[in-house]
Amino acid sequence: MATRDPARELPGGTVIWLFVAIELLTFGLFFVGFAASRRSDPALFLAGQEQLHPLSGAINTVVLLSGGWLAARGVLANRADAPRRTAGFFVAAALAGILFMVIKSHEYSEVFAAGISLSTNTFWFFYLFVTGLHFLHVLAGTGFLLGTAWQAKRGAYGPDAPSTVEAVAVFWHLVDLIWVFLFPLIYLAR
Amino acid sequence: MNVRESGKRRGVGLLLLCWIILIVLTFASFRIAEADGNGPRAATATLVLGIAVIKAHLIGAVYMELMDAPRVWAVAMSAYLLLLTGLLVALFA
Repeated sequence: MATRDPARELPGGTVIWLFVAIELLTFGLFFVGFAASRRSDPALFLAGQEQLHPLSGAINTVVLLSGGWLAARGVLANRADAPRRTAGFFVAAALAGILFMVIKSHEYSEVFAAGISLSTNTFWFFYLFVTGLHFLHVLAGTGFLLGTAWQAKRGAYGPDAPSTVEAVAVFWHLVDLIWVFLFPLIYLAR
Repeated sequence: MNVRESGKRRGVGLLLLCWIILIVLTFASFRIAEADGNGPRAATATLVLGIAVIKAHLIGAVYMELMDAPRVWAVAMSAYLLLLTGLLVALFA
């Protein structure tokens, strides 16, 4: 964004970016595993996909992307030395995370009600395991956002101490980024 | 308006533009998949995964601020996302 210092540096520090790299590599392996398994039995994967609701996946994508936008606005507010606005944006982003989890939980409840589990078949193993892992990231990110909002409101951050705010936002965007691939892979690509 | 305020406005505008593009692309990929029915379609998979990698680049560049980060990180992220998408498209072909 245009407001960063011209001296190039990683927002949030190097450690969070090493974590991002590890996470992207890990989820990338799961994505490739999903696509390779689908290639060996496309009929099984098609049958599984037909039981999902692409619209709820699309709505959840909009929810997460909106949460990402709110978190990015929070970072800008922190740089502008506006702690109350920083906290407000982060709380709003956390609410997006909570809405995502509510919608996803509804989908999980339908899947479990149909008697489906991790051991049903390869499609459902990947669906439940990978989206479940992503769900845990959303849960953790929501907690980080709320904790950071609380601290921001108390004046713990600001333009001279932006690392925590930026690192939490980067983590939240990582959650977005993983879902941006999960949505087409699991719901749309056939 | 001082320099900081001007920069802040550019940042806010860029974020909003990025969010709008991301939402439009999400809607587009949903419509493409819906219009193509339930059978296996390699072209649909290629399109929706292609849209996904564009969205991922936008998130990386704008939301995660890689456009202002050391070049090596932006290049590494971009290369990885393109490699991953290429692999996925090949497996769906």
